[in-house]
Amino acid sequence: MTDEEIIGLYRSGQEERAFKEIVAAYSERLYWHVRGFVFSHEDTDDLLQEIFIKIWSALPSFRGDSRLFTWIYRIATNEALNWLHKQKIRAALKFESLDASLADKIDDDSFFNGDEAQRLLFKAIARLPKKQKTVFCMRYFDDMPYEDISEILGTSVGALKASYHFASEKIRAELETEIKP
Amino acid sequence: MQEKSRIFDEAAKTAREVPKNYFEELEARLGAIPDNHRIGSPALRLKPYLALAACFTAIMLVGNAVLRSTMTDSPQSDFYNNEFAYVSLLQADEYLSTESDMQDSISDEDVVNYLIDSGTSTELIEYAGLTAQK
Repeated sequence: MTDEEIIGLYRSGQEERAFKEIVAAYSERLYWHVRGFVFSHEDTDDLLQEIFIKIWSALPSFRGDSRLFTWIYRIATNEALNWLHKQKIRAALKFESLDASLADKIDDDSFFNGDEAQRLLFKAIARLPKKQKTVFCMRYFDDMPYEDISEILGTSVGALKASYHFASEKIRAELETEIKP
Repeated sequence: MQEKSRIFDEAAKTAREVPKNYFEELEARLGAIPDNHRIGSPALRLKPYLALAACFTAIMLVGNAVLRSTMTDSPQSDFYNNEFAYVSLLQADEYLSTESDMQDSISDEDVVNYLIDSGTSTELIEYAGLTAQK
């Protein structure tokens, strides 16, 4: 079912059926999108539940100014960034850095089956600034076109390309230092 | 500009796993959200306001109780709170009391002078047992 059909279904009064179509169409996509930010499977699962509750609660206020896809991804991205912000505060209360906290989560994630180089890649992504991390995850992991990212984040395509370029260079520099030949 | 270098190979994308049948279970779990989170019901919308009203009521009751308990028991307040005390105040009023020391000091001379000024005859003044002094 297309997004337009889902919206039509919702507006015809079949709200629950429309929501279930959204779940079917977006749950897996949003899972990988969120996991790009939070790294751990358990945290992703918890956060995804909250995101879909938020989508269900906010559906009555969806006016159709943007595409349903854009609206849903915007909610998911904001919730993921809020989660990172809360993790930063929790880490600070324990006199730790967010980078260290996320690195621990990567190491402790029982659903990570990559090699050491890939582990270092994920840790380097975790250390990126918020904006660069967001763009990098959406471009690299979600394979999202710049135009869609621009619509979701409200940033120009040019700025997004620059963010991705700087993020890639930063990760490359870190990995070249850490991965000894 | 090369977007992906050797370092960012596709293998990194598959480095993350999920439990078996996870997405089927996830879809079923997320599909139950409308049943567990009813939106738009009047009771749900009123809940925060009812909670606020309950808080204000509790604050008013507690505050009132605290104020009452801190009011001092002064004799004057007792006096005015006690209606019997107020009646005794009336009984002690100078115009109702027969006690001579509670009366205002009006001498016989003042009474005689008043009677003379009002044209009362001398005989009547003498009859009343008053002696006028000019």
